[in-house]
Amino acid sequence: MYPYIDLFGRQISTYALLVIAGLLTCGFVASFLGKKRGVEYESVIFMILAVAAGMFIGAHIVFAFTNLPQIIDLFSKIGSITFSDFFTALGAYVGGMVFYGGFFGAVAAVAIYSRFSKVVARQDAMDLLSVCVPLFHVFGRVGCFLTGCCYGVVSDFGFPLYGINRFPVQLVEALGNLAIFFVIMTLFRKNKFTGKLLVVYVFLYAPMRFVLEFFRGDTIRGFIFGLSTSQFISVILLGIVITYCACKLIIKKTKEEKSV
Amino acid sequence: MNSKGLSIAGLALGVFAVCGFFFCGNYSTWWMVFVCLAAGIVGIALSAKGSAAAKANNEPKGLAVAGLVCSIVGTCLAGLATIIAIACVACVASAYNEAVNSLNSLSYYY
Repeated sequence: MYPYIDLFGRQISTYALLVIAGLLTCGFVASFLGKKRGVEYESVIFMILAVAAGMFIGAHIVFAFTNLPQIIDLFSKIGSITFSDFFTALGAYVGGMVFYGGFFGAVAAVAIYSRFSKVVARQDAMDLLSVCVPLFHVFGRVGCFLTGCCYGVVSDFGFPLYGINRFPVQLVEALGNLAIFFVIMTLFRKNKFTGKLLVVYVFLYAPMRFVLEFFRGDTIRGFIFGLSTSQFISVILLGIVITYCACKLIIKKTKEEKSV
Repeated sequence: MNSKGLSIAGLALGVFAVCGFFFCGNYSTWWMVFVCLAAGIVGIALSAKGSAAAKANNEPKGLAVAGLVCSIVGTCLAGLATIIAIACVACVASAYNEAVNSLNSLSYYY
């Protein structure tokens, strides 16, 4: 476990280092791929800024939702605890991040950006986002492994965390995300599923996340109806995407029958 | 749009973000890190805008690119200093507590 390294005479969080590296790598990949769709690197830069802001806000909001009873309880104690204690506790309840929250925030940010941009079409922006999300997630999960968070179940196979051997679920998810990144990037370069790569991403990521959640050992992230928060969101997302595809297929077949 | 003005503003903010990072190590100037981060982000936006304007007006983009590079470097440095591993600090604390509890339960039997 290596949560910190020494850089420029300071103690720098390895998680921060990997987040920055992930954003830079995604920026380069998006600039390179964007040229195929006529998206200039200046537009990619604005998109990256919007995505970073959306990701940051969304991830914290969803994390806060998993601690809603505790936050409500904290606000009810406003008169009886000190200012410093209040903000320390609030920081703990809101300070964490949930990937799906970051994902929703990023999608919302790109949708808003493409709505107001005169040069970037929404389908191009969404397709670029679909390529970059799994790539960024690889860096994030490696950061989780080095920091010692989002750890796996107790297992003989794995790495020690505070003296307990745990399954490296973070690294397994990072490898899975890397595979998803290569699949989606190949589809992008071959102009397949243009405008629908986000749907492809959800079809690939949601089942993987659902299965890997069974190997997660951190119970602090919350549970809904017996499923973890992320499993619950995975099921909902997969349902939405399957319904969307089914509707599209029915509409297409109805149009074909009418034209015949 | 005046591409030169935007590029110079972006460059100035980028240089400020880079230099400010090296002066905010003391406890008394911890707030400088956030100022540098904000300056870097605004510098990136202004330099990108300047680059797009220079392209539209068929002007040289060198100043805008310099501003962009400085701003990105400054933002990265400030980001390294501000993004602490609070993302999953609750999870890490939970892992630590679990380990301590399991050690305590072992010592109870001995």
